[in-house]
Amino acid sequence: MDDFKKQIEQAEKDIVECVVLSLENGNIKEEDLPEIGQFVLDKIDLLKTHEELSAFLMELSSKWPIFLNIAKIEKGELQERAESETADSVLTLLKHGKIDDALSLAKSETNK
Amino acid sequence: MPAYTPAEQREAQGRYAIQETPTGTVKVRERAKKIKEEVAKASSRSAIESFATPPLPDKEGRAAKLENKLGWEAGVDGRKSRPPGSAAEATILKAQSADIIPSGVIENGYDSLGAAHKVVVRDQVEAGLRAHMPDTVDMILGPVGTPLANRDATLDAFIKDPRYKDILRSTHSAALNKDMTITDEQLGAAREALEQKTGADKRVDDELKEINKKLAEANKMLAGFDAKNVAKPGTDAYRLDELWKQDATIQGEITRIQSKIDSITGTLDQLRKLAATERMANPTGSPKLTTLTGEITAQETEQKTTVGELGAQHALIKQRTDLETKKSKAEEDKENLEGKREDAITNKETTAREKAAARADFDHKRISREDEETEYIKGMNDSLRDAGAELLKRRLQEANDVEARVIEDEAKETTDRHEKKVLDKLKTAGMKLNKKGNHEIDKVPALQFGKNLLDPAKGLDWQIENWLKAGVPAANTEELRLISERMKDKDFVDKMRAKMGPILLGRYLQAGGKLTKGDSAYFEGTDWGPNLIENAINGNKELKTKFDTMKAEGVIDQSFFDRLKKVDGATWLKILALILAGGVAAFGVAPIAGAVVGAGGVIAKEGFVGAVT
Repeated sequence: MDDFKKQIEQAEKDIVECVVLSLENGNIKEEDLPEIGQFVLDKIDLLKTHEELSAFLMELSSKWPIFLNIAKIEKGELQERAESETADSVLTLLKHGKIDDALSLAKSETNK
Repeated sequence: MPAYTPAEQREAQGRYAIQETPTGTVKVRERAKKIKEEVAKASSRSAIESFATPPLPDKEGRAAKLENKLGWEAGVDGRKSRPPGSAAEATILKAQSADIIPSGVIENGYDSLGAAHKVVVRDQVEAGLRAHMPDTVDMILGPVGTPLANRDATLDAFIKDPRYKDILRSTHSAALNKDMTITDEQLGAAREALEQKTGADKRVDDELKEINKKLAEANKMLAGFDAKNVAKPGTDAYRLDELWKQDATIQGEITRIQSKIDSITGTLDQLRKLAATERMANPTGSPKLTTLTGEITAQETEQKTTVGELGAQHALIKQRTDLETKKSKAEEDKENLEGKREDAITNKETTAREKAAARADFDHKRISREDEETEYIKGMNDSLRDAGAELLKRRLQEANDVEARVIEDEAKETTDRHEKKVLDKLKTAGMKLNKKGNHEIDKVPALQFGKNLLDPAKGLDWQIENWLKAGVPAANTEELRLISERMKDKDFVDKMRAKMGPILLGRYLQAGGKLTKGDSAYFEGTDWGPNLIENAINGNKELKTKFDTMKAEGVIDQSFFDRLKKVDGATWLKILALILAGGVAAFGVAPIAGAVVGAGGVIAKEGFVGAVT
């Protein structure tokens, strides 16, 4: 199973856990479930990238704030992933002696 | 606020998760528990699917839903009015009846049903399957009216797929929860509006009737004065005319009588003076006084009579004046009433139009609501059938998804660029992705690819070459030469034929394409046709495993496929269609294997494929 599919499954798991907790806490009503479920099912299979997953979770949490934590986590992971990719690129540039380019790339990431 | 790191977020969520939670209602806790159970039993996705559909309410809840959704007229007690024998009563009885079997399956499982109810479920599911793939269902279950012996067992196995119950929960809940577009409130408001408009129209109608009545009276009165009635004794016109004709006489009489009265008055004055003088002279009376007194009395009598005559003449004038007043008043009334009538007619047009509009609106809403309630019950009746069709659709989609994935993997793995190109084309040939990303048959191209194969002028090899040449410019003669060379590579062509033939024909059949006896003869004459069944079985992991098992158990032997090539065309086509047209995907291997092997056992000896030559 590829990495993205695992992430989708994790997101589904997080969504269900959130729903169960929110039901028990009274943060959502049973009547909210069909709309939440339909919203998720309509969109989740169409997601193709981590960015789309993050945007989907943000949209989900904007409609039902109970999912805000999941959206934030996903956003954080996306950021972490971007930072990690930048770090790899910086190292590659350094290995090839392109010190100025490496510094410039590192600086651009820091300024984001 | 600084952003949490993912680890911090997960920790916070974990802490949030183990916090003591307020006590929810039993119902909500039960729902949460069910979601957890669904995750444990199947997957998070399955749990999301389960709560995307409202759960089926319990028996009381369902009864309450039907009570609320159906019927709209409130009785005196405020509840819905459903008099015995009424359409409203018939509707709710039908709905209650339509709920019994689906709810029984959902709540207690198919096995809990009695024999009669199982018959209903099987028939409904069969109808759903037939609507989707009639030919395949005909072959697997037998034609309508002449079912195969294993028809009930095949349907039972299909219905017992746990997903059937889940889908039924969804279809039946959806049917039960379906809201009426025309609400009770809208109907109530429409009826109230109609009552108001009807009342307003009646008031204007009554007013108009009253005006018409008065106008008729005025007209009747005026008709009495009409010139044509002048010669008609007893009419006002006649009388008035007569009075006018007598006017000169009356005036003359009045002058004459007045003169006579004046004369009598003068005579009386003189007589009274004479009598007074005489009385003064003879206070005790005298013959003269007696005579005078007698004359006075006579004159007074005469005067009285004459005044009466004058009064009679004046009465005639008054009679004429009264008649003229009467006529004038009637004319005036008529004019007024005609004005009022015009206004009333205008009002009546408005109120009648508004009443008709209110009636049309109410009738439209009432009929629409009746139609909706009929549809609502139909939806409940169809939920068993729709769930069957949906499960079939999902099984076919899953099979198509697996098939597409297998082709995709093979395309990724192969180092042969020509093979890769054909496999890439094959993956999407006659297929499309639905919005959920599942593979579905794309009818038009699927039929076209099938037709290409069945067309003697084209055929399977033409399709292989066509795909290989796709996108190659005519100027690229070297690549075109290589493709021509590759088409002479028997191993390559055989491999592609084995892969493409069953898949493209399967998609063709799923799209509703038909195979004829002529096609059977055509297949027999091609290099790839006779191996279609063998290649179809070998290309389907599930089917291959089953057939390998049957081989191992001696149910069929090694020469099975060779003998299969010798059966009559109709039987061969039937087996081919069963395997290719979604039969395996829809019903599993057992009915197919049963059909192929036959009730009599080993194919070579007797049984289904009995026409071995």
